[in-house]
Amino acid sequence: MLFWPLVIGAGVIWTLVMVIAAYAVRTTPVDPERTERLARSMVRWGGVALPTVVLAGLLTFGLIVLRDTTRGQGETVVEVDGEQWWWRVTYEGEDGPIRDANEIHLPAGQPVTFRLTSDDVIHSFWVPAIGGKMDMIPGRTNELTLTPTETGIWNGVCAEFCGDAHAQMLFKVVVTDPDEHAATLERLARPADVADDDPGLAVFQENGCGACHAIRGTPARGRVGPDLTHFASRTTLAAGIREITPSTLRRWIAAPEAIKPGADMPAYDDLTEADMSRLVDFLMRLE
Amino acid sequence: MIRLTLRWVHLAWAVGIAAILGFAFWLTAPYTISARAHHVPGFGWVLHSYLQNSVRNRTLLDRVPAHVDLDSDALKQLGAGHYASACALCHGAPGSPRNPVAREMNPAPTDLAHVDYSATELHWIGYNGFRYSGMPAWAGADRRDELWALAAFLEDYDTLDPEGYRQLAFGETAEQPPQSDESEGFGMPAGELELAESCMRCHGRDGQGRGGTAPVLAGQSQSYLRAALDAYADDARQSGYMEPVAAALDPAERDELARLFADMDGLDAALPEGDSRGARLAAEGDESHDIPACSGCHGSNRKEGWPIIAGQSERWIATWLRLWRETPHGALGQDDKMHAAARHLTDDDIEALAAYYSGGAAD
Repeated sequence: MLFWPLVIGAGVIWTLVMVIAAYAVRTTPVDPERTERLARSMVRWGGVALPTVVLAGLLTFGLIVLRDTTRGQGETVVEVDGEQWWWRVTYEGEDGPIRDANEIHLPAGQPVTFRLTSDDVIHSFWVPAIGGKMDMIPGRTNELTLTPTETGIWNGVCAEFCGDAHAQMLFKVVVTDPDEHAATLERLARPADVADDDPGLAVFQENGCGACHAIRGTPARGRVGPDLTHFASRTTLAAGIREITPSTLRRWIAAPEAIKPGADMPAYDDLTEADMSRLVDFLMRLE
Repeated sequence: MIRLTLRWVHLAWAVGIAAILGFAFWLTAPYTISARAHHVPGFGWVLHSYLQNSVRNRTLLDRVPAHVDLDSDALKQLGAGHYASACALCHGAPGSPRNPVAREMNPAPTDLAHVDYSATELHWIGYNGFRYSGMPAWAGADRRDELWALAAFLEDYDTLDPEGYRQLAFGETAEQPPQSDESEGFGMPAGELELAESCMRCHGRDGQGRGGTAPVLAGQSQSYLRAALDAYADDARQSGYMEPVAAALDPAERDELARLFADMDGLDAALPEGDSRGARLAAEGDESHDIPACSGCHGSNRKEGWPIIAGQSERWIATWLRLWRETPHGALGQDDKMHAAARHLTDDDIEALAAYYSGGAAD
């Protein structure tokens, strides 16, 4: 909404400045007193009055536009909780909250309200392609309503320095048409398709992964780290910084610190080769 | 009037002569280092009062932590137990005077019935030892927490009679020497039972830890106990109490002791019912404070060799959680995991978890 007025306004001001500059270069001052007077009135009108009026007008206009992004109630509500250094994503499902991480699925053409929180430090939620940017402040819930218009996968980042791995705190926004979106949410709401005696699940449990990670449909119900119920269906690993492949996953589990400095996840470098393979194979099946 | 002009060349001469004299002193060593020799009058007093000033000034700001109860029997028994095996040889004990060898040390080890140090001073001395004397520093690096037990015991030292001391230091093992029929009960040859007896002085004959004196070992995972002994012996887990004990054991003895205590009935008791902070942290952790669920690793599905916590002594659960909260260390290869688990715990969380896992009252 602001794009064209700003482009035109900038064009007008730029042209004006160039014309005056050209005039100032070519002219020869004859009357120093008159030049002095002219210069003063230039500063008064061009340097004080004009910016005051233009910027005040833009601010007013901007605040009116912004009001819609903070007051408007989207049809979809997504809770996004900033963590050092990943994103906890919760959708409102029909049968209770649907928990996911580091990837946000949105329907195209519908306003969506993000409820933004943090329980450690200040983060900032920003998806440049969709617009808006809002701080996530511990102890507060900030709301931001945006309307994604084009389908596709868009990049999101943390836009407020939040510690060692701030630059590795990324996420993806997947915008699909509303029907496909509904199917995605339905899939995310389902528990994982895992047999109770899955050998990979046994490795997951006996090594204590379930203390931090939940896999719905299994005894693993930790809440400290990302929910892994549909881990393998995500596009990225470790909050947007690696593709999910068996080899990146293996490296992440053995030494998270090597991929993301300061990551809270401890290294599982003591797993036997067989256990690691079973674990990676198991996680890659969590579609 | 004689004018004395000091020139640089005079200074150079003075330094040169002093260096030559110093070298000659070093080479000929006229001042004896014989332990038989006594200090020149007054010099001993200067040294000793300097030592006392040094201890006093370095403990001016020290306070006994709120969670340490110097009046508790558990602390006194642990302190006495260690004193009997590591300190009494030089310092003597109630009823047994200092060893003749120790009495010929110079400076001679102090008879601790005649000193007047505060608990914080005893704590400092135990951890730091004294340079230029036979008093060693504590074997457990960064385990300052362990010294409160010795301080608790030494505060009472001058009031103890020989029997009271034996009860503190040797517990049940003081009352009756092991009998052959008991040794059969443990399935060990009598010769090796003596070894187990020295563990039992602090860990109790039943492996229950003498009411918090030492951790409960009865029923613990055998491979965990074995790994812990190895870690103490290899300096991979710090403890001034356990390192000297474990280092003296050969592999067969470590196996035998681990099996002995693992086979006893003890840990893995039922945990208290009800909804307490401790129970919640154990089962679910705390998402908003990044505290993982303890049961994720220490529950019924725990990995072979990972320790059982249910039924452990309250004091020892809290002790180790406090250590892991500060640094990743001594968790037998799982240091980062225990630090990740404990680093966000508050003092109240630690108390709640210790109460819950020790089977104590739910709050």
